[in-house]
Formats: sequence, structure tokens, C-alpha cells
Amino acid sequence: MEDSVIVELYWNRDENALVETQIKYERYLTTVALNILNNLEDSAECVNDTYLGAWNSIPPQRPSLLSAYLAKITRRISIDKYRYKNAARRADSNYEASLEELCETVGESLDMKAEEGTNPVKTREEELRHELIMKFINNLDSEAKRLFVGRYFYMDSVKDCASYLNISEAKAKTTLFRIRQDLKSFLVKEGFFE
Amino acid sequence: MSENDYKKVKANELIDAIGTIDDNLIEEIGKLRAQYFEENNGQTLSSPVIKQSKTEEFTSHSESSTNSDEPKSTLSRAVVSSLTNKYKRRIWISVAATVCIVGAVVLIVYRISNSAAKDASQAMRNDLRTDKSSRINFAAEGITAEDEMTYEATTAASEAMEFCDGVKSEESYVVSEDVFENTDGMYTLENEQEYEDNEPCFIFDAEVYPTDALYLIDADGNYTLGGGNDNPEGDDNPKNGEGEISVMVASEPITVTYCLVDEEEFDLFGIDFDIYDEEIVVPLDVELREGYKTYYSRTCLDTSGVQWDWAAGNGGIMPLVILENGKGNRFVYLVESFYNETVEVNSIESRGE
Repeated sequence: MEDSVIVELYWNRDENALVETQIKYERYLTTVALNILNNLEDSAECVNDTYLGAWNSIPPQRPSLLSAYLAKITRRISIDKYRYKNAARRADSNYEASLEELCETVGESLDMKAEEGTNPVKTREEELRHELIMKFINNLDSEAKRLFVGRYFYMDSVKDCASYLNISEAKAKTTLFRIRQDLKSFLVKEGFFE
Repeated sequence: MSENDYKKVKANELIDAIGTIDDNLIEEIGKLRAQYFEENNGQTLSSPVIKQSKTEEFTSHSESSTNSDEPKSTLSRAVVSSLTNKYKRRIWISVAATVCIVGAVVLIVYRISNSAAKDASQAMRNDLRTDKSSRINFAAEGITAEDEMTYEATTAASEAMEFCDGVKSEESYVVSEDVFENTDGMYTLENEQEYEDNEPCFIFDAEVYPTDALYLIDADGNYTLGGGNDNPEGDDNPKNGEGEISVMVASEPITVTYCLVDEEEFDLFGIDFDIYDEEIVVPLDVELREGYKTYYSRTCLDTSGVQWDWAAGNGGIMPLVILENGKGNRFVYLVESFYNETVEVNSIESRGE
């Protein structure tokens, strides 16, 4: 079923919207959640929560790209779940690996207050960060951009990213390393770190 | 807040920010991933997949997230999926094991046949070495050699080939497989490769009989030059320090004059080098004698239409220098440190005279 039709079902408060969403996107969303949680049961729950999230947010939202919209919800819910479950301990997951790598881009000795919680409503700071990251991504070349999104949005392993981008794993690693270096410089320059 | 905590906070902010990127980007990569799923038989990229559940189960779950049955149904789906994947793994292991066994059998058969071929090749080389009437067509100019040098496969040749493989891989030197025929020591190149005019290229092919030596062609594709071993003492093992393999490429038919020179002569030329030093660099365009210039490169640098590569011998890499006398004649100098005499000849035919 076309995404636009599914969205229309949501808008009509037709529960078939949920069924059609599941039929079309369950596997896709499950991989997104699994990459973060590394746990089938938790991932399935997050995917189901995604449907609920979609049900609650459409309307008023009318996503033009339903898959991306759902992926964002799944990612957010999965990350929240991960953070909740791993507040005191670390687990072996692609999310943790991605986080570790991005830690490299953070400055060495800066003082910053932690922001508590994950407010679903975009704050001005979140808006700014969104603009910042989009500015950076848009300056990447096509391959680097895809690699960045694959690794840090979908949180696929480097090997998997390399596979579906049709490049060698070594090249993917090298490119990611350079991206992180560039990101670090970019963030420092843009005042991401206080 | 500790530095580590701070890093984590900022990294989390980054992760969150990345989660807000434009839908188009997400969609684009999502399609790539989806395609990858399809091509990989429906498997997820690296993780097991939860099987498509019955829509009824899902609907009841969606309607009430507090339904106590839902985790059970989710779990049961996960268990089924896990078991399915386990069986898949077993099937794959069986297939892989079968492939390995078949591969091993093929390898054994190949090695046996290859060994026989090598024995035959060695016998032919021995024949060639002892056949003083063997003549080798060296150049388009018709230069032929009563070859006292025995052109044969040697360890050094193999090393040279290995070395030159790297060069061969360069784009301008990629050549297709060529067919060599050997008739009474005359090597004819049935040249099928494509190369640009004035773009010298060369071929190294360890499998080409009879000499396993180095074959060279000019821009017309009609001349070859082999490398080989030279040792008047009969010891053809260059590892013993007496022998050389030469390699040369020319862009046009030239009169080739071989001069065997020793280190002293090179000293006379004012070139200070160690033949065992791979880093040796003989400067280009150095006046050696009146009207003579050197052309030298480690990697077949094209200089004034002449290209050449290393000569290998004595278990290592030997330098080779081409001189041009300004009249279009070029002279190839091989370094043989174990010859104390300088033999200069006008052509290879008169070599040793």
C-alpha cells in the first residue's frame, strides 16, 4: 500500500493504518531498533511503540516520507529505552559503538551541564543542533553522507554499511574516521562545545 | 561533571541531533538497506529478523499497550525467529563444509597436475640452456643473438616478475594475456593487447614458456626481449651472485647495444651507488659521456620515449641504465658486479667476442 494511503488511514483514525504499517515496515523498523538495543524482545516492543507513536502523532503530522518518519520514532524510542536500561551499565551494541566513536569528536576539557531527560518537544537548542548537523552533512560528498547516515542514524555496523554502499570495509572505516575528524573540527568551530 | 561524562552528554546530543536529519536522507539510505535485505535473501544486515507476525496479534497490541499478553506473544515470535535462524545457520554450515571439501579435492588435483607441468617446463629449459644454436629474436631491427646467455627461469626472474607485477597493475601497463609461441628459439608475440602509440608496455608472465623470463614489446608489438641468466662458470643460480635478468622496454625499434660494465666503470661515470640498495637513484639527464644521457626510473618512468625497468639479479634488484648517444642509438648497461672486466660490444651478437 502506498505511504500516502496509509497516512490517510491514520488521518481517518482507521486502525488498518497500524496493520498496514506493520505489514510494510515491521522488518525495517526492527533492524533500526535492533541496531541500538541488540535485543529482539526489546526491539519488538519499541517497534510496537513506534506504531503507537505514529497513531498518536498522525494527525496532526502528515509525513511525506512515512518510512523516514517511522524510523525516526523507532530510533528515538529505542535510544530512550537503551538509555533507561543502561543507565548504570554498558552493553555491547552498535549504539554503544556509535556513541563511543562520537565521543571522539567531543572536546577534551570543557565544562558543560548535562541535559536531563529526552524531551520530545524540540527546544531551541535542539533546533540549533539539527541545523548544525544538517550543515555538516550537506557539506559531505555523496558517499560520505550515505556512510554517515548509515552508521550514525541507522547505526549499522561498519561492515554492513560498506556492504550496502558497495565499498570495502577498510575504506568505510577510513572514511568514517575522516568524517569524525572533520565533524570534530566543525563542531569546535561552530561553538558546539562551550 | 567529569570529562568523561561531559563527552557522553555531548555525544548523546550528537546522536539525538543526527536523529533529526532530513527525511530525504533517511529515505535514501533506507532504500539502499532495503535493497540489501532483498539481495541477501531477506536477512537483516547483521542481526536476526523478527518474522512477520500475524496482523491480529499486532492490532491487539497496538490498541492496548498495557495488555499483559503482548510481551508473551512478542516473545514467542522472537523465540520462533531464533529457532528458525538456528536451523538456517546449520544449513549454511553444512553447505560451507561441503564447499570446503570439494575445494580441497580440486586443489589437490590441481597441484598434482601443476607439478607435472613444472617438471616438463624445467626439462625444456634445460634443453634450451644446452642448445647453443638457440636463437632469440631480440628486436625489430633483426638483431638476433647467438645466445651464450642462457635465458631461463630463475628465482631472480620470479622475483623480478613479482616486483614488476606492481608496475603491471598500473593502468597504462595493463595488458591482456598474450600468446607466445616458441619455434626453435624464436619467440613470436601474438599481440592482442591494446596500447596507445608510443606507449611502451611490457609483459611478465611466469607461465609463459620457455624461459619464464621477461618479455618485452615495443609500440609496434613486434619485438620481445627476454631476460636470463649469465654465468660463464655454468652456475646458473643467480642467488650465488652470478647472473642477471634484464628488462627493457622501448617505444620504437632501436639498435640495442649491450655493455656489461662493472662497478669501476660506473665509478668512472661518476655514479655512486650500491647495487643492492633498492633506494638507489641515478639522476636523470646526467651527462655521463659526451652526448650521453641516463634514463633511469624505478617504475618505468617515461623519459624521452624510452622506458625501462629494473634488472634483477644476484638475488636482488640490479640497476640498469640506458644511454642514448644523441644519434638515436641507445645503449643498455647492465651492472654485474661480479665481472671485473668491461665488455663492450656493438650488438648482442658479438657479445663475448
